Amino acid sequence: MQLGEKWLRSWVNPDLSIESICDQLTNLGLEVDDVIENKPSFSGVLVGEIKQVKQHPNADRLTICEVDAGNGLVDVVCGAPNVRVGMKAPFAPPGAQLAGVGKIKATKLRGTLSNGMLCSSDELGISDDHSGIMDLDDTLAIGTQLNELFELEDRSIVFDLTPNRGDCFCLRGVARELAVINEFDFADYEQNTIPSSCDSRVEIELHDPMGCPRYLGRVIENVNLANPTPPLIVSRLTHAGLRSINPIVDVLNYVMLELGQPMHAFDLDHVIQGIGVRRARNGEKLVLLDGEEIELDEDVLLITSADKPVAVAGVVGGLASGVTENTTSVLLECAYFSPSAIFGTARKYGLNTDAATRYERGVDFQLQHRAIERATELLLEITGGSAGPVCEAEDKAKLPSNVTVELSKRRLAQAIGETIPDATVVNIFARLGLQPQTTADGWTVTQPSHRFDIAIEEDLVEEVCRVYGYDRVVTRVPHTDLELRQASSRSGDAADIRAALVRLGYYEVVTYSFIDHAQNALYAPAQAYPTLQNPMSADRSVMRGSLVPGLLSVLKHNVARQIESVRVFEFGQCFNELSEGLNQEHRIAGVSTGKRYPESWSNDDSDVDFYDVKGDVHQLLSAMSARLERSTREFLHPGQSAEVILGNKPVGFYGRLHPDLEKELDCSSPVVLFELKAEVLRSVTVPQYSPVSAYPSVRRDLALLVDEKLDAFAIENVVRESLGDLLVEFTVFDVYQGDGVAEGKKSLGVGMRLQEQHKTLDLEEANSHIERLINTLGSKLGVQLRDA
Amino acid sequence: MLEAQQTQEAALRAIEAASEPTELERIRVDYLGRKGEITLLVRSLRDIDKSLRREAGRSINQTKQTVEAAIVARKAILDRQASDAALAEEQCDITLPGRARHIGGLHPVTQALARIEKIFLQAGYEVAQGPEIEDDYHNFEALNMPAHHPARAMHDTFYLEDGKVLRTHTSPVQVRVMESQAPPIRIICPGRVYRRDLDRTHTPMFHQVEGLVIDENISFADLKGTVTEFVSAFFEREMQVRFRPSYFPFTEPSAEVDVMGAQGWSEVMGCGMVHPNVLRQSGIDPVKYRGFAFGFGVDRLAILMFGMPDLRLLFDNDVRLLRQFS
Repeated sequence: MQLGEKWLRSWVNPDLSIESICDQLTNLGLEVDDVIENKPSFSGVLVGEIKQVKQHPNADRLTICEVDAGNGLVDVVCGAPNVRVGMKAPFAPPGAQLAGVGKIKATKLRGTLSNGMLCSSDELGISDDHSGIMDLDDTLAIGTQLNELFELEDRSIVFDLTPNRGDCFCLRGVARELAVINEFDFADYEQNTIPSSCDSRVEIELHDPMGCPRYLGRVIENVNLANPTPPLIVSRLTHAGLRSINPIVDVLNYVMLELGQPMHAFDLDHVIQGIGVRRARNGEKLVLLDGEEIELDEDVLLITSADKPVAVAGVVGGLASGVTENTTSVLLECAYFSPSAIFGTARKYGLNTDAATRYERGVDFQLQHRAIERATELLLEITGGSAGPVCEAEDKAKLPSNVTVELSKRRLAQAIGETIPDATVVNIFARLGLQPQTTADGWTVTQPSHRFDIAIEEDLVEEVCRVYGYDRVVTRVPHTDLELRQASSRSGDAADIRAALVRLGYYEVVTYSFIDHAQNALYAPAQAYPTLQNPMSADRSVMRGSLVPGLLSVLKHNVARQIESVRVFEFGQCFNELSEGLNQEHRIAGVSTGKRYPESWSNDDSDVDFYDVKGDVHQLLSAMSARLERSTREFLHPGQSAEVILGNKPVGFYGRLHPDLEKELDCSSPVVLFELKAEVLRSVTVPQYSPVSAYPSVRRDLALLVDEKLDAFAIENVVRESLGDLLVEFTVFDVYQGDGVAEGKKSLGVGMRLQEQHKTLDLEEANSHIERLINTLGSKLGVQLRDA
Repeated sequence: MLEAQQTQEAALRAIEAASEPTELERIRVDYLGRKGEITLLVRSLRDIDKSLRREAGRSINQTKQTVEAAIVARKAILDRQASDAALAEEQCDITLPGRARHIGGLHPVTQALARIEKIFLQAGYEVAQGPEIEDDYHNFEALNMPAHHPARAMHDTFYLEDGKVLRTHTSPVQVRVMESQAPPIRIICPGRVYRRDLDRTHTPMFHQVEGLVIDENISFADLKGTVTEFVSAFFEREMQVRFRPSYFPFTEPSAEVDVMGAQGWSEVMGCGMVHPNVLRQSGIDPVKYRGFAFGFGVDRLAILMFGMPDLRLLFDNDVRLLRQFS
């Protein structure tokens, strides 16, 4: 919401700069977002009086007006039909600037010199009215600069209001706050009753008194919509961000901005059969003011006439019953709709109108009579016509009431943390219009009808704090017992995992948790995923079932920017629907591509491969004994990928991306990735001591010739089984295929360290163990010694 | 004994002139070997007159010792020269870069988060976490936002097809803690949250830390102190902090916190005293206990900390950018 500064000062005018006023309002909770300068589109235009009007000798439609603008009489040629002697009008002398015209010069028109120009309000950018010269108030002094009038030059204060302060969506509310903080007396708006001058009335029936407990209607007959809205009202509307439309709409908007009461006007001819307020029936339709047709449902509160929809209550009017330029009589609507009856309707249909904004937050439930009188008064002034009596339908029991709220001094002091003097508290409440009554241990206040948000003790605490000043309230930190917590042996938490991967050369990334459905289908298939009803875009419409798509998009982003080696990881939640329900689990995943080492004189330039990432994963798994199975995931290279099994549970995978996908990513070197459930990396055990042998060990290396399809793990198993506790170290130090090794075979160099715990290992014994191992390898796996 | 004297002088000259260990060895053999000159001189003593033998013996012995010492000394010099030469051979270019390895780094948000957690853990807070897909109850209703509450419009919520939501804040974690734990409570809840918004200062996913303290004597003053100290602790200097009234359905009074920066005040967090309805809803007696809660965007603090101009850069994941913060 925004309002002009001058309009605000016309209600409450503290001797403060605009900056100070904005600070005051912000510190009261009415956040000022911005201050906008408004300037008229013209300059140098003066108030002139037409002293004489003569027919132009050479043109039927032109007149020559003698204009006094404070610098003697000048002749001005004019084509407008409404000039008359004695009329005060905007006069642009030579040198003045008009937006659409430029700089004004003395010009000959049909042979007569025109020393300037009389202006329409359209030419001045004040309104769209171009029917004639703007007719100014007779009381204006000749020679007055026009831009100093009608608040044309003003600043707009732009507010970002919180939903609880429905009362401040109008000048009256903002002015009240400004009066409170500056300790000004605030006189609430009082309105004279405008007596009826005709008898026209309409019947009003409330079928849903919960939704609409009060509805006022008033007929205004014989209005002249051709009369322009006064420039001051237009200015105030403009500075509040609203456009001038016609006198009726303008007046209703004006009253809404001034008092906070949204209103509506119907063309009387279309509602002559009376007004009803009821819930819509499912499937009922209404064409709105903008021409769009909406389908209604039972949640929508509806205004009807002869049971036909004519408006969505509190939100928007219908096209058919709306005011047009042909309208001669109108029915003004001024109602109290309960917020719960309006909330949701505007959002559902995307109709965030000014009326809906206010009704959703709540409107002063005692305002309706004053507002309809105010609108009548303004309207009669502008459009003429005669007003009927105020027709009223009301269900008093369903209207809100002014509840009382109690606050004890003890609670107030406890909640704030210091004692605010009683007199200060009472003064704050009184200025806010809360009518404080002192009780034995505190105060009772009565909620005024515009502050329906005040309902409990805590609300009053806030009122005291806010007016007293949040910054003035004492500041301290909580005092607590310094109890000690148990030490934790937990490792493998998010921080540990992240640190480990950083040490391994990975950068952490953060990607969006919502991805493209196709990505889930590819990288985490055969499951269902939580799907968004209202995604930002179609390619961010499902919750990720894997971290892999996000990482690959990061990879692609970086590769496209000529970054050769990319190693990134992400730690985050993944989602899928299981038969037992929604599963949300933390996972850790990484991807690596490019060179194994940074380019350097000292490093080889080989590419990252399966074994690099395998090494990284097993560092994460550290002491856990994971079992591997060949992976069948379709996005992985079938020969270079593994499923990680802990106990009997699959906990993740690692491997090379399928070469077809690598190609799609424009990666010239292998892309190797992994993903693990983070939970399994957690450990709560403290490592326990095991003795280190003090006796010498024996190292034996064997070059084994094995079938090329045989996994090294099979050999390791046989070795471990055969040597038992004697084996303290096992490594595969060489893998070789090529010259000297038969086709279909590979040579494995394995190293074993044997050691006794309590004595020196006898060499003979060691040799006989190795002999036996060689035999077992031969018989079980067909392994031969390469040298033999 | 003139001969001994002459032999010694000759030997010392030869030793001095030796430039190789092998040459020195040859000299040693020449003089001190089995058939060496000095050895022969020693042997020749037998043939000398008894009256002169004692004097001659001393002289020859001295020659022998002098030559032996000279050989040892020369040997040390030659050894040293040899090793110096060898080391000189091994000289490397110390300006070449060291053997490089890939280095990684934590995401700026994680770094900011770690800093935040550390500050609160030191003060005795605990860290609580919860699910990112939440039910309506924990995200809204338990926080005093029933179905048609206008404040729901403040959260541009992502809804899932089954009616669940992507949590719009980490407050539901607070609710879960209150449901399961009796006061006193001192927690922070970090995590990803989601709102349907994207511009220079908003991303549809961001990170939040919310804090909750519930005890018997908690006041608005405690909230102000905690928030003020946190802001200064985070930025490692005294920060000018402003509290101004605001509105959240789950706190009353509520406040928005601004911090003075280079471009004037900037909003960093929302906070307030826990609304009695929220306490009651989670089974905590609002008469006996009071609490405060605060919540802020980690991403916003991270870009302030690292001097980044745009929130969206955090999710760009450009390695060249990430490298700057490692």
